[in-house]
Amino acid sequence: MVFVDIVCHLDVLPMIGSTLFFAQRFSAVFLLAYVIWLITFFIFNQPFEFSTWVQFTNQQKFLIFTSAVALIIPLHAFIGLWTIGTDYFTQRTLGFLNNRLSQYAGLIRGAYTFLFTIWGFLIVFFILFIIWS
Amino acid sequence: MISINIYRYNPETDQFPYMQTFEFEKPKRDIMVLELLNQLKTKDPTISYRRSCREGVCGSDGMNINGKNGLACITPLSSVIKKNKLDLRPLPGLPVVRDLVVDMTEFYAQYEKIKPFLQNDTPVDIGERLQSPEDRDKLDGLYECILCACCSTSCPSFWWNPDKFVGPAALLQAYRFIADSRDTKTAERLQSLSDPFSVYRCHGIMNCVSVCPKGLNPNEAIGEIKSMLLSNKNKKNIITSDKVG
Repeated sequence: MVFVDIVCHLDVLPMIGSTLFFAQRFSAVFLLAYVIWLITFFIFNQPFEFSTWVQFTNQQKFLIFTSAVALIIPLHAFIGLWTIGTDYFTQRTLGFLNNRLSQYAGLIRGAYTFLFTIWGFLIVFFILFIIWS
Repeated sequence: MISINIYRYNPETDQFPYMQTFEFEKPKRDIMVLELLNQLKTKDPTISYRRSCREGVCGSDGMNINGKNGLACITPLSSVIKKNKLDLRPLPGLPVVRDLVVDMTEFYAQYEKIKPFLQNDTPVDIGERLQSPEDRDKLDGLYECILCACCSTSCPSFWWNPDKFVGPAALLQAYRFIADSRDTKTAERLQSLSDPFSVYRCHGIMNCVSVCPKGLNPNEAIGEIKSMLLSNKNKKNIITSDKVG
């Protein structure tokens, strides 16, 4: 219940703007570097064969980088989705649609935040499971 | 003839707002939108709007003119009219008091939040606080803001969180005092803006720059504030005790 309470009230926890700003930008740069690394691999290994791919994915550095990406994607997505939630699922914004709906803005935002947090954990779990199993 | 659609809403008599169309003979010379409204008001005295100086100084007659915020008194009709049609609406995002008049309480609350006055606890030596011409130059493009709210009310981030996001107008003024060499409360000012909403909700959409009737650049000032918040030099001074609520 503590976890649910924390997740549903993230918008009232002390959060530092610059920390979020850096986290979002650095995670984006890391993800971009990962994508460039993969594209470079594909470009310089032509004609591409399955054995090359298996060899590449079995490397320790691939496992570590991909695991890091698995953790960083939810972090990056969390900040973006949290921003969207605190923009659009507020009493004021939902009030533009419907006054009664706006009364449940806190509940709707809490459920939305809870769902995408769980979703994020599932993504991390499955990616790590696939990589390391 | 030109068709002028005006947003009408009187909370005492109307359940919902509506657009009222007026047919108006096209003037032979170019006139300002405010002059057009003044002429319409002689036909229908119930049309409500704010105006005062009629020369772009007081910032009273900010409104949404054919989809873009601006001051009616310095907007020529010829520059905004499209296919002989003109839509006049109140500034978006703020509660409507009546017709084109909006309640600017939230806008002024954000302005008050940034403490728009010089703060300096050191004693004054010779009757006034002196400033070099170079330091004075840093205030150009900042002090000219007339608080018409055209920028803040064209900003989606301000629409969604007018109670948390300070908005371009107030942030421009915040930077005006941060940049002032005579002000000694830079760290405190930055600390008050360090939460995820006050400044960081600016996503650089640039609507504020596009609509400012004085040609100012709030986005640049916001960028400067962000740079100062993110720099290591200032980070040491910013105590991380702000809470978002």
